[in-house]
Amino acid sequence: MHMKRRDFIKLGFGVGAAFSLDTLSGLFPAAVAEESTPAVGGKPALVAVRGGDRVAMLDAALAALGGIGAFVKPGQSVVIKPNCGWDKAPQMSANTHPSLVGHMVGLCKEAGASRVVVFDHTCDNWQRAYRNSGIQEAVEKNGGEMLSAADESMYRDHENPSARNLKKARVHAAILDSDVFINMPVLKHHSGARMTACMKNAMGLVWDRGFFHSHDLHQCIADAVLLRKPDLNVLDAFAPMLRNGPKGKDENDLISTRSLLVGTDIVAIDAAASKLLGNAEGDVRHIDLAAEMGLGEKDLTRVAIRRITLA
Amino acid sequence: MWRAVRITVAVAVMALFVFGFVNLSNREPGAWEHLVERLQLVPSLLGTWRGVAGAAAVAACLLALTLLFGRVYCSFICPLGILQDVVIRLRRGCDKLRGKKRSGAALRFAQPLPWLRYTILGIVVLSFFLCGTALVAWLDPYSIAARFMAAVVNPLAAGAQNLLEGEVETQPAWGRYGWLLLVVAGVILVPLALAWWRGRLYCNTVCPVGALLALLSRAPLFRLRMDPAGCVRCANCVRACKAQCIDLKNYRVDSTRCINCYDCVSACEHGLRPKWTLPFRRRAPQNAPAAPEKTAGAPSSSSRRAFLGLLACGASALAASGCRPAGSGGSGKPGELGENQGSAVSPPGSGSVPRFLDTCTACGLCITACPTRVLQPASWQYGLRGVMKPQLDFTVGFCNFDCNICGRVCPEGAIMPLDLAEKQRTQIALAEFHRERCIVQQHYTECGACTEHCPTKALATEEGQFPSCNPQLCLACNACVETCPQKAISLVGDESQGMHAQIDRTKCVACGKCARVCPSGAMTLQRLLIPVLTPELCIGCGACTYACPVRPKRAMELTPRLRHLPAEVRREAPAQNPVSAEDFPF
Repeated sequence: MHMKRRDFIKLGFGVGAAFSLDTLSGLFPAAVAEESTPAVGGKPALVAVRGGDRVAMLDAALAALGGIGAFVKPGQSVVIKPNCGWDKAPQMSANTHPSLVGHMVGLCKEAGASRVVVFDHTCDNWQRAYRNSGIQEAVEKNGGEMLSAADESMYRDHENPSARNLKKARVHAAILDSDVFINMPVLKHHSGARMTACMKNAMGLVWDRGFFHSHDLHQCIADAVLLRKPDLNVLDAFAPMLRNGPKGKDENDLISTRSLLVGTDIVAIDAAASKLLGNAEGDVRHIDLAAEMGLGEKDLTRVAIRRITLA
Repeated sequence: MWRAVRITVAVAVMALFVFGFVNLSNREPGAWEHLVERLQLVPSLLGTWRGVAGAAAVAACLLALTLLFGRVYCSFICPLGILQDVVIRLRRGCDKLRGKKRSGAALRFAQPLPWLRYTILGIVVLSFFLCGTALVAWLDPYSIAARFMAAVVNPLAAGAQNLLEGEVETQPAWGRYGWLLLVVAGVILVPLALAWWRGRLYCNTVCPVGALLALLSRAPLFRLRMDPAGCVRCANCVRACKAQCIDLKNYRVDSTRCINCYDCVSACEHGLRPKWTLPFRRRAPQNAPAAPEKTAGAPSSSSRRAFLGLLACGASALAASGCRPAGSGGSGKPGELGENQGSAVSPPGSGSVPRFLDTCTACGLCITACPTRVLQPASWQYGLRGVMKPQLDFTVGFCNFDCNICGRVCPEGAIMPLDLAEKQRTQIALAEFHRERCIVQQHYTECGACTEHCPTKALATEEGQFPSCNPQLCLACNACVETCPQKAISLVGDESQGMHAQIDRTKCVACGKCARVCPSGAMTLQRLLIPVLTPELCIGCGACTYACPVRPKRAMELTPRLRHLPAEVRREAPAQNPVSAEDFPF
C-alpha cells in the first residue's frame, strides 16, 4: 500500500489542489510574501521558507505541500532521520534542531502514524549525541522512539543495483521497514564533501561509512539516495555552519539565514541549499552526480519552488 | 547489632561499587556517584599526594577511624574484603550443606606472621618511592576488586542488557579488557581462593593496606575484649573469626589482625564485646586466669621496629640521593622521562606519562566510564610499569572533545579533573599527516573523514590542484618534469609507443605548476580538498586517526606527548553571510 502512496508523491500530482495559494495565505496571516516559479498548478517540489522560527516555518512549508497528511497516512510507520551525529548542544547547529525533530514527530503522531522512530548512526558516542543534541528528549516528549544505530545487528544487507559505486550496503532496518521515510538534516559546511544537507545525511543510514570515503565520497553520496529515496526532506537552514563543518568549533562559525527548505526533490533542495552557503554551481560534485543519475533536478529554474517569507 | 551494621554498610558499599563500574547508558557521573571509590585507602593517599580535592580528608578520616576502632576499613569499605566475606559465607554455606563441621586449620586461632606482612609492606612502600605504583597496582585491594568489576562484571552487565533489550550497542567479544581479563581474573582469584581456604588470610599476610592498618590498630580505643569471668570457652567466637585472631587460651583478640567484622560478637553470648579501652592496656584483667607473659597473639614488636627502621632508612636514603618519584614534578626534559614509557598516549589530566604511571593503580574506573572506549587497558605499551593502566587506543575510538569524565572519576589524581575548557586545550599527542597514504592523493577523490572529526580544526582541508596527464596529448617536452618542485614527474614509455609524463602521486603536492607550463594541454588539473595540519592547534584526541579509512597504515597517525602541553586556541571572527540575508539566493 505504501508503494502506491510513494509513487503518488513522486509524481507530484496536484491532489492537494484544495490547498490553493489563496486559502493558504488566509491560514497563515503571518506570511507576508509568497511567490512561486514556474507557475505549476500542482504542489511545489521545493518550499523555501524564511523569517520565522523553525516550527512556524515547518508548519508553513507543510501547509504548502498539502499538510503532513499528504505524506503520512493513519496506521503507517514513520522513520525520521535527523542529523544527530555529534555530541554538541542544539545552538551549535551541528545537529538538526530538536524543536524541528520533536515537532515533526508530533505531527506524524497526529496524522495517525502507528509508530515514529528516530535514529542516526552517529560519529560521536551515540548516547551522548542523542542526549546532548536535545533530540532524544524532544522525540520522546512527542511520542516518538529513539532507536539505537550503534550495533551492526540493527542493519541489513541491501542491494543497490542502480548505483555506480555503492552497489550494496548494510542499511538500518528502520529505513527498510518503515512505510514513510522523512529525511531531516541540518545544513552545514563539510570539510570533505564541501556541504552536508539532504543527500549527505544518508551516510547515517549505513553501517560502513568508511566505504563511502574510500570509494569516491561524492559518488557514494549520490548513490546513497537510491538506498531509499526519502518521501519528504526537511532541511534545517536556520543558522547554518558556514565553515569548520560538519562538527564546528563555536558559534562564530554560524550565519543567520533563518531558512527552512522542504521538498520531495532531494537534488533540488540540496542545490538550493548550496546557494545559501554561497557555493557556485558545480562546487558540490555530488549534486551534479545525482542530477546526472536522474535522481532530481539541480537546475532550480526548472523546479517548482514556492517561496514563503514569514514576518 | 555490630555485625548487622557492618553487613548493611558493606552491602551498600558493594552495591554502589558495582553501580559505579556499570554505566551502560553513558550518563554523566553525578558528584556522589563515585563516592565509594573515593573512600578507599590507597586512592585517598595517592589523591592526597596529588592534591585531589577531599582526598586528604578521606585519608585522615580512615586513619582516625582505624586508631579509634581498628581495621573497620577492611570489613566495611574495602571491596576486596567484602568480596572475600562473600566467599567465606559461601564456603560456610557449602560446609553446612555437606553437613560437615568445619574443622582443621581454618577454625582455629593462627599464629600471626607479622614479619611477612610488614616485609611486604616495606617492599611496597620502597617500590613506590622507586617506581611509583608499579607494584601497588597489583596488591592494592581496591584496585584488584575494581579491575575485576571493569574487566568481568561490566561486560557481563552489558551482555545482560543486550539480552534483555536487544542488541543496542556492539560489545567487544571479550569486554573492554580483551584477553587481559584472564590476568585480572587470575589476580583476584588469589585472595578469593585464600579466603575459601583460610578466611582473611590475604588481608593479614599479603595485603599492604591490611599491614598498614595493622600498624595503626595495635590498640584501638574501642576494641574487642573478652570477659574471662563470663567466658565458658565454647569457642563459638574462634569458629566465627574470619581473621583467625582470637586466642582463647589467653583471652585475647589480636587487634592488628582483627578486621572488625564483629562475627564473633554475634556468636558469643558470654561477654565478648567491643569496649572503650585505654590505649596499650595490655595485661589481661586481674580476675583472668593467669596468662603467659609473652602472648603468642600479639604481633612481634621487634618486626614492627624493623619495619619502621627499614622505612626510615629507605626514606633518608632517597632524600639523600635527591631521588624523587620519577616525573612527580615533571619538568618534562627528555632525559627525565626514562625508558620504555613513551609508546602510549595517557589521558588528558594525567600531566605526563611518568606522572601518570607513578600515580595510577590501574583500577579501571576511567576505562568503564569512558563513553567512546578510547581508554583501553595497556598491555606492554607503557612498559612493565604500565600494564593494565589506561591508554588511548585510537583504533577503538577517540577522545570526545566535550567530555572530561575520566578526570572526574579518577579517585587517585592519576587523571586530574580538568574543567572542560582546559581539557579542550591540553595536547596529549600530536597528529601526523602522511600525505602519501591519503585517499585524496591516492585516488583523486575527496574524503575529509579526518577533518570532519577534528574538533579544534588543527586539521582542515584546503583545495589542491591535482594533475593528470593525457598520454595522447603529451608531447614529452619535459617542461613539467623540469618545473615540478617535488620531482614527482618523469617521462615513461619507449620510443615506439611514444613517451609521456607520469606523475608519482606519493610525491605530488598539488601545486598545479605542471599544468601551467604544459604547452599541449595534456596536463589537466582537478580541484580537490586535501587535509592540512596546524600542529599547534592539535590536542591529540585521535579523532582523525580513528576516522581515517586508509588501511593497513592510516594516513593520520599520532605521536604521544610524554609531557602534555597546552595547545593554542584560535577564535575566528564571526562568519559573514555570503549571500543576502534578505532574500533567497535562488
